[in-house]
Amino acid sequence: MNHTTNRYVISVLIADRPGILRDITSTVTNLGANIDGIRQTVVAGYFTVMLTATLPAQFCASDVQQNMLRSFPSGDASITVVPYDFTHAREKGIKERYMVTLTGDDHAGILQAVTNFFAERQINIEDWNVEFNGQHITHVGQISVPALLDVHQVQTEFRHLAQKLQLKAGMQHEYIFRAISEVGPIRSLLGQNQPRNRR
Amino acid sequence: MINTQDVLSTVRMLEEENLDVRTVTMGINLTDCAGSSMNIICEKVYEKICRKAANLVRVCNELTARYGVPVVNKRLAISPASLLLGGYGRQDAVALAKALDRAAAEVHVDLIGGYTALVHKGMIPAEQTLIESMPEALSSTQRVCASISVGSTKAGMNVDAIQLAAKTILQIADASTETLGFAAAKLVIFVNIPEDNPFMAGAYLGAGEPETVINVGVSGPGVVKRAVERLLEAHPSATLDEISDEIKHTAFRVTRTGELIGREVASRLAVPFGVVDLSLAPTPRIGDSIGEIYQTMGILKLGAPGTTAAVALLNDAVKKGGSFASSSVGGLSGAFIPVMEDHALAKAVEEGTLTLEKLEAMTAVCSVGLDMILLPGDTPWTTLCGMIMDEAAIGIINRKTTALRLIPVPGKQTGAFVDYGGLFGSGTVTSVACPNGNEAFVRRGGHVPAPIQSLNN
Repeated sequence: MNHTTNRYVISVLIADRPGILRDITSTVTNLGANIDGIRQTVVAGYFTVMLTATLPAQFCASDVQQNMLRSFPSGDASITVVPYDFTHAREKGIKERYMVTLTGDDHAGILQAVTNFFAERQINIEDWNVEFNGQHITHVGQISVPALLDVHQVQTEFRHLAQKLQLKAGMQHEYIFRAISEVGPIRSLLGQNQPRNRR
Repeated sequence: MINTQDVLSTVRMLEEENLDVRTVTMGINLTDCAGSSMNIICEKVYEKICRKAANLVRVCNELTARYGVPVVNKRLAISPASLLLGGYGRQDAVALAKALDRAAAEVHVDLIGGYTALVHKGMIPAEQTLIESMPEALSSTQRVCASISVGSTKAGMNVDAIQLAAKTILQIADASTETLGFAAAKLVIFVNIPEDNPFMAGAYLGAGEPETVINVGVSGPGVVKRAVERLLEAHPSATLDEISDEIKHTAFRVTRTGELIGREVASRLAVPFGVVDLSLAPTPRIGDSIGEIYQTMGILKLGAPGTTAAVALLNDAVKKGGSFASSSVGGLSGAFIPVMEDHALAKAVEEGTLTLEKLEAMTAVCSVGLDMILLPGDTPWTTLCGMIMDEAAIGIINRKTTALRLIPVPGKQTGAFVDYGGLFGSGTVTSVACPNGNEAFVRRGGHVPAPIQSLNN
């Protein structure tokens, strides 16, 4: 950010239909914005998107919101625009990303127990997705674990929690999933891409 | 975030299909442990192994927790022990083997390979000493594994060395009568021996390798079998090229897992990473069998016509998938067919559908040779010699590694059941269709010249 631009965080929640993302990005872009981060998903028929955009300084948050609301004249969109707070983006200690899976039969209280488990250990949930297949559910989450925590202990306790919830749990470092799913060199995944000294 | 289906598929491979890393093997060069007496050499060898490999098992266990991928075996491979035996006798060699065994136990590895003699073109006294010490060395140690290189495409076949190896196998078996010749399972006879093979019993650290290095052997049979099963459940009439494609993609994922673990172990121990060996190595566990893959593909009776083609298809697909996955592929890199270590192969031998002659044909298109074969205890050395020469010929002419682990079981005849337990498995004593009639040929000794294929410059 500099004195000629401002960065905003924009979220939109609306019943899903084709063309929503086009309408949102067109509105923001027409204000002269550069969209520099976006995450969109559809949950149970509802479209939701969160994006960050850098706009010319002449536009404030309410300008952006009003323009966005005009794009959805039916009035069924819930739109929030807030200035981007750079202090929130600062890294707080070294963390490692792990993937978490929970599978089994659905019942009330699973998410509360799991989110409580991670919050108590200062483990941040970065992403969480639940798929329903009848009564069977599959939770897949991405968490960041402070480096000082003993991961083996966390894994053991997490499996114990899952057992109490009558679910099957997994928790592995994200590298194993990326190694198997991506085609780039393993050494670059591990940050070992520095060129060797040549004589 | 990573695609949910990719995450679940990886979790399934880990939890239901036996995806693991079969071995992380640290290579250690011991040539700087030479000394003025065998006591000094043994002290230096013990100290160096304990220093270099002190944290190998701990790091592997940490990564098992981090990734959820078990590292099943942690092993060591040393530079050929014969290089430390110049001027020493047989008892000195045994003392060296015992020092290696103590060091391996101290750092909690499963096995240590490299009690090795490279005699494919000729034999120096130290190598002869080492080979002659093997009966006592292998029967009086727990973890020491040995190998003898008796030929190569470049050098031809050293038949004098093969004669000595054949006689030595019988002596090793006799020296371990109380364990039904188990010590012979720790000796591999090679042609075109790889210098970076992480798998036992044939691992050793070659002359062109780094001072210390991490090589990795991947998992595989269980994962590959389930992948083929899933394909056939979804598409019962899948063609062989579709099966090949499925195996190739699975081999890619298995290889990536191996390289990830290997590179991180190497990085944490501050040693170079060497290679991923793509070999599909079975265990006696049901669901972790190479033979079951062939059965899933449609060879219901292993040994039936078509079995060799199935081996070739599997071996080729594994190599293609693995070589795309990693630029650091080495070792043997193919499909193993160790009879005792694979319950489906062992059962086929027991039932008589899979004969030694058919196994020999299969070895022409996969990565090793007659592996973990139980033979009658009274098998003549000339029969063993002929078997080794036949396998050597396949390897030398086809420019590939072939190897033999032959176990003449003292006091047992064809049809007897033998169980070594653990990863070494169990099986039935079998014998070649024609065990004699070759004596005049193999007794001639000498050297089978390098084939015309060696002149490729």
